[in-house]
Amino acid sequence: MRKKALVALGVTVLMMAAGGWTAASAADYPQRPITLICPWGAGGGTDAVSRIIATLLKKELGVPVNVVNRTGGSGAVGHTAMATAKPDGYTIGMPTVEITMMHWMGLTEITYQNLTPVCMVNFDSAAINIRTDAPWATYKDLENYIRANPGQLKDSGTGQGGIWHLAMAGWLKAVGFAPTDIKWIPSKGAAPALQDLMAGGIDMSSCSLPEAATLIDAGKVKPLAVMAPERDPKFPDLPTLKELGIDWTCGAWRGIAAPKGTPAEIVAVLEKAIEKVVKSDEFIKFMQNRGFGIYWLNSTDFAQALAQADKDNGEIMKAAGIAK
Amino acid sequence: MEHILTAVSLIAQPYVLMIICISALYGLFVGAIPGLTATMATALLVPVTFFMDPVPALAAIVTMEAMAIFAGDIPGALVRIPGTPSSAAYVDESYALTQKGRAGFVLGVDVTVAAIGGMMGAVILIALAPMLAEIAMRFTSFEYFWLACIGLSCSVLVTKGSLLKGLISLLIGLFMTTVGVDITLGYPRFTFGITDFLNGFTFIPAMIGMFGVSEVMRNVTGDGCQCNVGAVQTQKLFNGIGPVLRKYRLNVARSGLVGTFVGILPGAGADIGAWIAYALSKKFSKEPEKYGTGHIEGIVDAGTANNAGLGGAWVPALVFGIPGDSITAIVIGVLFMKGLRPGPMIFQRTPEILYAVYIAFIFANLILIPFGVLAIKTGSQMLRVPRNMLMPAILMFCIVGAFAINNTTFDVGVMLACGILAYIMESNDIPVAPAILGIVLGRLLEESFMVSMIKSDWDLTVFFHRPVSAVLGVITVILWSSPVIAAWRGRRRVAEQVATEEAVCEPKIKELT
Amino acid sequence: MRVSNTAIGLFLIVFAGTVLVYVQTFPSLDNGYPGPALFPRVLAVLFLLAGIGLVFEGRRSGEKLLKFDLGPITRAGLINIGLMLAVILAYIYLSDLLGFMILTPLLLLIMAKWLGVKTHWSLVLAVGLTLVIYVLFAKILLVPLPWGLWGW
Repeated sequence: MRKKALVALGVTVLMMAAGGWTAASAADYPQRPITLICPWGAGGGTDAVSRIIATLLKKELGVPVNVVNRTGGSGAVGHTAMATAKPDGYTIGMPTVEITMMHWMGLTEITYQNLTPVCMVNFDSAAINIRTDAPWATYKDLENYIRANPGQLKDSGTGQGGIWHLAMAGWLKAVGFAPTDIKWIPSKGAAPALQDLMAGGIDMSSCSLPEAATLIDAGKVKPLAVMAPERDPKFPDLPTLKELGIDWTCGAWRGIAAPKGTPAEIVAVLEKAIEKVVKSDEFIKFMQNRGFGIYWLNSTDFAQALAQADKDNGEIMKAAGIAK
Repeated sequence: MEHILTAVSLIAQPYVLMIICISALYGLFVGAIPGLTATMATALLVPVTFFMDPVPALAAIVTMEAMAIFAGDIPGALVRIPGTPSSAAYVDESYALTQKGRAGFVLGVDVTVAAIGGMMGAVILIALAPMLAEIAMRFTSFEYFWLACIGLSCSVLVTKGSLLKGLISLLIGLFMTTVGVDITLGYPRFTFGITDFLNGFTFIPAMIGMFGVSEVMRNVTGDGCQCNVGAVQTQKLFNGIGPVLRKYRLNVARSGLVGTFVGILPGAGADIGAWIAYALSKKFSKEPEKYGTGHIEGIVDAGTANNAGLGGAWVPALVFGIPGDSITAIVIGVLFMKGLRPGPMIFQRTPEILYAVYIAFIFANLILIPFGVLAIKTGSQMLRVPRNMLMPAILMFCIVGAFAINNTTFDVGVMLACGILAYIMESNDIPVAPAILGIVLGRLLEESFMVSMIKSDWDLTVFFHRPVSAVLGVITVILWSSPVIAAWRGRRRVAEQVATEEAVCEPKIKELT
Repeated sequence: MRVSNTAIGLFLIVFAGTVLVYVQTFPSLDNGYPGPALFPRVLAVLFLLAGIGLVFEGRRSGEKLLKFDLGPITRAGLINIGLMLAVILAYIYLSDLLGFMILTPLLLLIMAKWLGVKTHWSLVLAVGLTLVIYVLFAKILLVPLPWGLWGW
């Protein structure tokens, strides 16, 4: 008797499941909670940005947006989860600059082409940060020191093949130094690298300005130059590498993307909603307080930027011997 | 002084007090459910705090983490599943006492020492933050390597029975941390092309599996605890705690200091603090042989240390904006969001906010006792449920908890594998605790060693170049060689005895020659 | 489920050997310094030594070479373990398809019935606990549960 009941229950369940397959449709999107995959851990900058976007996006779309941290593999796990999710618009993600780099390292097969770009929301430039008591007063002092003592200085900020490693590699290449003229020390992120910088374990960190901001305030760390196209309004006295005659800019960005194959109507709904979010007062205030730069690109421009970045980063990583 | 008064007035408002009470309940829930961590809970609070003033937002986080770290002890003592990683060090000890029918006593001690430890951490934070932060900032990979080595020596101290089997267990834990992306080259190790393995074995599902699932397996075979632990004595929760505290007051003081300092270090948190406190406890105990059989002394130490670590973690976060653990990493984000920059600025420009955080810390640890008792009484009802209904429920919480941490069924698989592994290990007298310690320390050990070697071009003497590093190195060498020396001394004593006996027996021969 | 120390020791030796061979494929750092392979290799050597130690210990105690003994576990107990493991496997493979709100009460019901809980209590447990977990995780703590096809 019980067996029969169980069988009946099972059959009902399966039939309901089969019915569910066809339920999704683009016209009345969104109807149920959306999952936003963050490829980095709770507490980091990407986590903070994804959570504020999720909170504000909930107001725009009228459904809950849940942030899920999928960490590991230098971002590969989270980006793979984004790319392999069902392309129904109910799973989106916040890809970061690493999507254009990991596949060159041989960490994953996933590239930006496995995603449908929705928009870019943020861009932060790398900088050259040293200890305040370091013997170099200006960027030129540092450059001359490296020229005289190649291979002596140690730089950190991310893991091997991470974005700040690339920032260093591209900078060295642009000056005309060899990739090994500064030794790269892998670390788990900017915060441990900056702590190591203060402890004297390394000599410089090529992480971004917002990441180093508290230590710059505390008078422990001093930026020498920023790898941005123009000066940062918060650091008006800080020269860019371009002004110093070095043609190199580099930075980390964050965006929103959906799995490949997500219907265009759904992407359009998301793009419009997130544009409103990014232009809202709350978001602008949040980003200003954190020191993060707002950088809006719509889905077409983001797609182009991705393709360009992927190509450029691959070249630099190969030249520096980081890529496989 | 006026800042302190302003701070008190900021906290003592009905709205803020209400927020504190709600977050206390929230913290207790999160801590007591394995798989939900205080870090995750804090991250979930962030969008909420966006609409709050800084003081209630920070007070909410402070209260929640204090409650969560204590609440992790409750499922640990009752069903041998630590609710948070910080309770893992002494879960076997607590459970052994529960099996003796003393769950009420264990939890009463837990909540008391948690409050005392938390208070010590807070006082140290208030009094010495800038100075201690300067010291913590001197720690680089060389010092962290020694710290990991000191941590590893705990494994000998937490092993019951055969040392060889303890070593095997530790190796299993260490080996599990080698799965995933390597620090030196970013090379994927032992992943066999599966993306999920890039993250390695996530600690929390592994812990739930090793403690929770293996315990469920033992229970449903009738191999587990058959003794009826009965209803937990929650009426007289604090009976007999006074004498325990008096007897172990030095332990509490020592572990409070150890826990706070380990908490201050950005590379180590409350979980490592609890292990080190537990190991020190056994090392300096008058009755080390009782450890592992349900001896309260180790619980006093580790339970104090993990809550003390919370205050410690705020030290580098407030002074330099460098997080002492993953919770304070989020706190720094919240501060930024409120336009408050951690660092000298916050000390000079908005001292009233700083004092409000301090007061919130003290207040949170005061209300930890009543709220903790409430949680203990609620949680203890669990043991009244018949075993054949309790086991399915526990298993379901294990599954959902392992899933929640990364929102992936892969972690449920990790939990399953670790559960089977732990079951087989324990059936063959291989203890599980050293493996957990190995998982906690493996990455720190390897990364600090490899990074140090890359920095120094494989010059091993570099570990003794820096003063702090050299001191830690010498401590490690002493700790590691002491069992060897003890063994050698023991052998020499035997040899001497034999020699004297021989000497007694054969004095005449000497005289003859 | 007890096996002899000798057997565990032999297993560790084989495992260590496999690891030692496998890590040969890992790349090394520039200048030929050991890189990703170093730590696993050291651990494998220690496993090897521990394995040899266990084999010695086993031989000295004169136990049977390959003892395999279920100990006090009864046949019913073994089936119970199998069911618990099957439940976890079911969750891994079916949660994406069925979703939390169907799979959880179903599995709870099966487990409780199997362990001899009366039907009405099993139903209380299955429905009650599912709702508790749902409210706690999905509603209060906003932790996503497996949604299944309908987005429960």
